[in-house]
Amino acid sequence: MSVQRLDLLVAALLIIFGLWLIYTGIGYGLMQGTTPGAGLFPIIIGSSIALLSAINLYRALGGVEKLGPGISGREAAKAGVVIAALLIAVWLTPYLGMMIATMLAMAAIGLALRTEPGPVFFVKLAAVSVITPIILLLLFQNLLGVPTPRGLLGF
Amino acid sequence: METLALLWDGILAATDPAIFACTILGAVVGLLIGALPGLGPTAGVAIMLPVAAGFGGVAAIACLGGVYYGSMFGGAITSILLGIPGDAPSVMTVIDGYPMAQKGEAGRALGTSVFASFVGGLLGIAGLVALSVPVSRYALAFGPTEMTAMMCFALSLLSVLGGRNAFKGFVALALGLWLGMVGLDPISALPRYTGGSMNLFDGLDFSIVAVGLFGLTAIFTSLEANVDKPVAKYTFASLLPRMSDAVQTRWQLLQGSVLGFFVGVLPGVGASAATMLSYALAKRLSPTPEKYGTGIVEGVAAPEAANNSASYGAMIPLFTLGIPGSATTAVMMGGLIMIGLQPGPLLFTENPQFVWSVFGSFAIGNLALVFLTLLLTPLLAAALFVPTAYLYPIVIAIVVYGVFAIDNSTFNVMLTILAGGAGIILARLDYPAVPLILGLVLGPLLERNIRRTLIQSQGDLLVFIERPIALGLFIATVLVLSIPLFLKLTGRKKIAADEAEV
Amino acid sequence: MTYGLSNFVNHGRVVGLGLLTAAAIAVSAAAAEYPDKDIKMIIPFGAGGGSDTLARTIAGVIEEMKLIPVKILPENRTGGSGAVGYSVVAKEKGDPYHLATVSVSFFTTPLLGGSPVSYKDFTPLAAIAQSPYIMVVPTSSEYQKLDDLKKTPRFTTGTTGVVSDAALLAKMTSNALGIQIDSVPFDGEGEVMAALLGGHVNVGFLNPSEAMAQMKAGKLRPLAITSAERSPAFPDIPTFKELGYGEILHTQLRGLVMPADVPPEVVTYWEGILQKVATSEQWKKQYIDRFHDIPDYVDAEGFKQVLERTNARYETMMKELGIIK
Repeated sequence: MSVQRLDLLVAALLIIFGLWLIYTGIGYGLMQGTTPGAGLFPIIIGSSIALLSAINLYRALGGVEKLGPGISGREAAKAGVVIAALLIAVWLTPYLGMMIATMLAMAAIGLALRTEPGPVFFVKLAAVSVITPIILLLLFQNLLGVPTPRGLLGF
Repeated sequence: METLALLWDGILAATDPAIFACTILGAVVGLLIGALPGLGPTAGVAIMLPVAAGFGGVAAIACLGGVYYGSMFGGAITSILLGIPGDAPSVMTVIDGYPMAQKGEAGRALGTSVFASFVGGLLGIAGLVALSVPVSRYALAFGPTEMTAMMCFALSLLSVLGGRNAFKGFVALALGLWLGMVGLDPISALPRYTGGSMNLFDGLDFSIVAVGLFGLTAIFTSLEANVDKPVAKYTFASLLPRMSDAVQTRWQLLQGSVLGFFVGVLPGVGASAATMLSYALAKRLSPTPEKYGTGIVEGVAAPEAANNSASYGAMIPLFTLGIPGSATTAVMMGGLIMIGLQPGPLLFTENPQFVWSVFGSFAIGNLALVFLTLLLTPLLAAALFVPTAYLYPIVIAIVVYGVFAIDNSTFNVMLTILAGGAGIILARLDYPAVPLILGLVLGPLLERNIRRTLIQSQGDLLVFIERPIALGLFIATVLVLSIPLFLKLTGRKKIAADEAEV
Repeated sequence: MTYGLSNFVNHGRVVGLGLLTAAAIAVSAAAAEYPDKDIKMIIPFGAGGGSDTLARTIAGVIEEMKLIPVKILPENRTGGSGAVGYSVVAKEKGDPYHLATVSVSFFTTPLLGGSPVSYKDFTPLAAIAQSPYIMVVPTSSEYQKLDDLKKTPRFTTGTTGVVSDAALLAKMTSNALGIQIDSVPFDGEGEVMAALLGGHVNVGFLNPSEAMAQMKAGKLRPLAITSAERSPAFPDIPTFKELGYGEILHTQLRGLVMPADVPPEVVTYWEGILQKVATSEQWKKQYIDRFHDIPDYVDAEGFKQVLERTNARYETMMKELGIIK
């Protein structure tokens, strides 16, 4: 998708989002006795978002808005892999524990970002991916007293 | 002069080896916790509380204080090197610090931040010892009405931070204001936008969004950067701080320190807002505002001076009135109680020696931190030589643990990742991240104080102009907004960001 | 460790009848030699706060007095205005190795719909102190005693959150004195105190420890205290009851709870322990004298009644305010 298309899409979505905020704001209540209720500010914010996004939509349609280069396919793929790796790691945390989940995520991210050829890379990456979470675990759990999630295997 | 003598005695008392050791311990822990993304001064002081309480007396509070201002030093490190705010009050440091590091001036930026932290700390301590009594009276004069006016004034100053397209800047601000509403509405007791999840009941922690939107987005959008930009661009000389920068940024340092101090004193406002105001003010007053955000030392000096002096300002209500004005000072107050002192207006008169020794330890710790961080600077900056295929996994792992530790919640980690992902789209489409963060910090303060004021006045809007401080701030707001417009209309001066092509 | 396999089975969706009986036997067998492993004390709030200090002091005193053969391990589980921490405890149904202290959010967060668990999901053990509230005005104000307030029709007070003890007391006082005290919700006790000292609100309902320092310094003037009898720490402050407003009686009980359905032997066991704590010199020195609470021991049954009454009060207030239906 070109960056202009994306701009159009986001502006349109933001208009809908703004309208939804107005809707929820009405549900929360405009006033609470003599004072503004929980809904007044959502309504103001929602209207601003909808209105300003309408202007942005108009600008995007008219081609007034000049944007930088879009996201290249390679870059989008890399970012996608990194984000997916992280989300999967978070999802796996209750089963594997935070330390192992982090190790796997690190290895996956490292592989996605690989620039140097040769087998040395794998050794270094494996070392980094194993050592960092162990240090972090010791730092956070033992020194800072943070109860990091453990997996089914007990660590 | 009597004050100086008392402070000098305090400093001498604080050189006691045990107290000195505890001060340094606190400072080092603070430095570390400040540098860890997500964890900030509040978490740091809370983590050290049980340990420090064991030291007892002056040493305990010297240690906790060390954690507090140490984390203000440390927060800048990851902000500059990686674009990841180490804690909430160092978000603004990212704006110029990170571009400097990308230009190969990491050492200069770090050096500036250390020096700015030191000056901010020094002036903050001076304010703390010399002005605490009158200043605490000024803090009490700020009720909900004045706070509302203050927030309007802040937003008017901050409008300069919009970005290229003003419309998108305001959309980003509105989105930030919306994010600030998530959670239990404290005025009506209605949960808003929580989706029924108790994870969102307390609202979004500012650090969670900031770390994602600044830090992870910076990583996600530079995944390809290293392919065509060789790391060898950095030389060792660029990792060293420069003394001349300190002279060059003297005005930003002074402004930032004074502003940070007075904003820090106000209960409930905090150091993050202080850094935002300081940065905005520096940009407003600059003859070349367009350079801000491109990586200049002034842009690092202003917020870093402010967050350090704000941390001392925040301690004034605690020491003079027994009122904790921020989450961090609330934990410090817990520390005072745990060592058997009763924080309150009588603390100064009943335990003068204790208070002055603690202040003395602040002076010593502040100086010690300069040497500690300057020694560390080249070492830390060298992290940039590590290829991204190793560096980014390590950094992301640290972020994951750091964000988790904020509330021991993997849900927050998920939010940070999503914020990072959303940040890519926002960045590509020119929606600036800074106004969004501002909205998140200032929005709740604005909304709640307006509503508090109107509960007090039973809906009467006139109170906003009946009270002198509020009226003064509103007039200042109008001036700040209208003067640039006036100058522009008469063609005398151009103000960046106000001149978005429409 | 709660992450162990047995726990996983307990909370699996498919639990056979056989397993249930096995678990029941295991529990009763465990009760015979209870406690035989370390006990977790979950603190639903951050380090350094009131709940944290209370929980850690209780754990510290029990350890110091060597009252139980195992350790108590305090653990902060913050988030969701207490909902996260309390849920952690409540889901360990029948497990006598999880403890928690009671706080205002213990009642209010579930009532506001912010927590999947409420006070009904816990077994009250006992309370070891009560914390009254002191109604104060700034010294600069013209009001010398409680009845002076009747001269003015409307006041404001600061509270931490909309539904709090201060808000509840403001309502009760308004009704009793025939005046109107509006509550302005702030974000923390520090902000409330700043608003009070700065004259932005006119009256306050404060914890003893907060009020003490300011009263000593002559900044605040006490009008009345909400306990049934005068507090030993404040012998000069009259109770509302003495002043003719017997209906204004509300204190916060400092007590411990366990998950629902713990065996009655365990409750009796803890009643014994906590009674010793409540009367100990250590508890007096480390908590009562420091926070100026009223020493008081309330057994499980009495504590349960207080919990129910407190919850009912909050519920009524929220309904009156139109917060819940």
